[in-house]
Amino acid sequence: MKIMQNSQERSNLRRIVLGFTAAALLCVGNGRRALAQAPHVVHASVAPAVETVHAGALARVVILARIANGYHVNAHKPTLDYAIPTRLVFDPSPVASFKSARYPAAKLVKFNFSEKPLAVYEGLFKVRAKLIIAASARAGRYRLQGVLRYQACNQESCLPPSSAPLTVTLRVVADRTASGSGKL
Amino acid sequence: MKIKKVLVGVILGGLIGTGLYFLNRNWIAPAVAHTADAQGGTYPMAPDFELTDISGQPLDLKAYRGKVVILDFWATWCGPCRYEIPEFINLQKKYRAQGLQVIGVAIEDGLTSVKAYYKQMGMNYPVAVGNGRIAALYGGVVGLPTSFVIGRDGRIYAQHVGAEDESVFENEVRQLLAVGTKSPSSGFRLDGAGIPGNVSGNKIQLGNPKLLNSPVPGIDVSKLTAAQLAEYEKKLGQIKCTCGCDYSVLQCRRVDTSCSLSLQLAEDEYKKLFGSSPASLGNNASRKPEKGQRRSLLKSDSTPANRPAL
Repeated sequence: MKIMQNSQERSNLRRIVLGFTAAALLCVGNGRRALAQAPHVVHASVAPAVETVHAGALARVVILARIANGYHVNAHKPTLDYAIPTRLVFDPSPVASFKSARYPAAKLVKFNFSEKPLAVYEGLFKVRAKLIIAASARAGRYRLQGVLRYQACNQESCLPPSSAPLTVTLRVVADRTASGSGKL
Repeated sequence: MKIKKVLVGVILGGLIGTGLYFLNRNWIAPAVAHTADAQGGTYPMAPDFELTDISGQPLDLKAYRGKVVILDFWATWCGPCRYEIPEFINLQKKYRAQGLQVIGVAIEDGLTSVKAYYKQMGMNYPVAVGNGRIAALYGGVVGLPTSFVIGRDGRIYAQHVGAEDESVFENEVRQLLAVGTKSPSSGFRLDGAGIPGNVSGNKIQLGNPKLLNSPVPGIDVSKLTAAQLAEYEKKLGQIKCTCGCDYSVLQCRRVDTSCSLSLQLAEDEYKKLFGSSPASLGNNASRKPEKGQRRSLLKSDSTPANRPAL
């Protein structure tokens, strides 16, 4: 009888101790999983690394986007009305403002989930952007933040709309000898 | 004398090591396995949720216990999701009388596009716009579509990430419709599923309901008194979230459970107010995203200023 009681006590103690241990382990695992985030499938970089330009002029930069293998993003002008387009957006800045962007020609690709081919970008693509430098901008080095907005899918599934951050570095010079800039 | 001390140390160390080994082998490992199984290690219970569907009716998953449910996370901007919708309409029509219920949880910023698509497609099952908490409860749904096939007993028997053919769902639905409301025997597995519970070969992993259902989602507030909780909520309501969402930290936690920035801010504030770190989702370390790299299925880049034009 005593042996049974001891055995029962041990069993209870074991349940309590291990219940906590197991719960802690499960909580850690589940917690991490709940924070699962979509993979970053597009990386954007800017060329030139530093654009030298004078106040009141036009700066031209190229955004080089690299899409992870197996994924595509909708083109700037998608063929389907529901598709979220790729779009370049810059933060407002007193030094430079976004003028225009030239997106590459889309590739028409047929996917399993669509009857019609879709206009997409795959692999590497370039977006050429023009920025207007404020006439009042003082000479100096400035950073203009922006994002390339995109919505990516692979053959079977889609990721939520997302953004690849990018930074344009501008060196505003006082005289008009700066290269790569033109009068507005 | 020294040799004696060393020997005693070695023996003690050996005894402790052996003890730990047996403790793990006989107690910890089996108990963890048992707990995981009891919590649905193979076929986990589908987490309950309550939403309002797009027609204004309550949508409570519990109300469908006893039916076979296909729970579909989808979005109108997602091509593969659109591919599946006619399949679900068809399956709903074909198996409604036998006990199938399809439920759609749309991953969208608003109702407008969902309502328009619902009408356009003649969808014949309830659809609600989801939130971050529900996605997190279902394991932080990332790829869309993601569908869960739930048995009459409320357990998840299959998870599909990506578009599937109708025949795949039909096969699973028919098998589950044939099973009663009691959980099938432990050897039960869906014909066609690679590993029980998940056709893609991994066990289904769900979120932690205790933390996700907290008044401050992601933070364990169970140790706080009512007054402390009120103070904490008030404070979080006053702090602006830095993720770019235009919400307070409290609102951001409630709208977007996967936002790591609001989680960090909520943890920091908890520590500041109550002097200790709370139990929370994930580790504090190394999870700060880069600027502009916040990823959230339900509210990603959905702030008024940067919402993509549809």
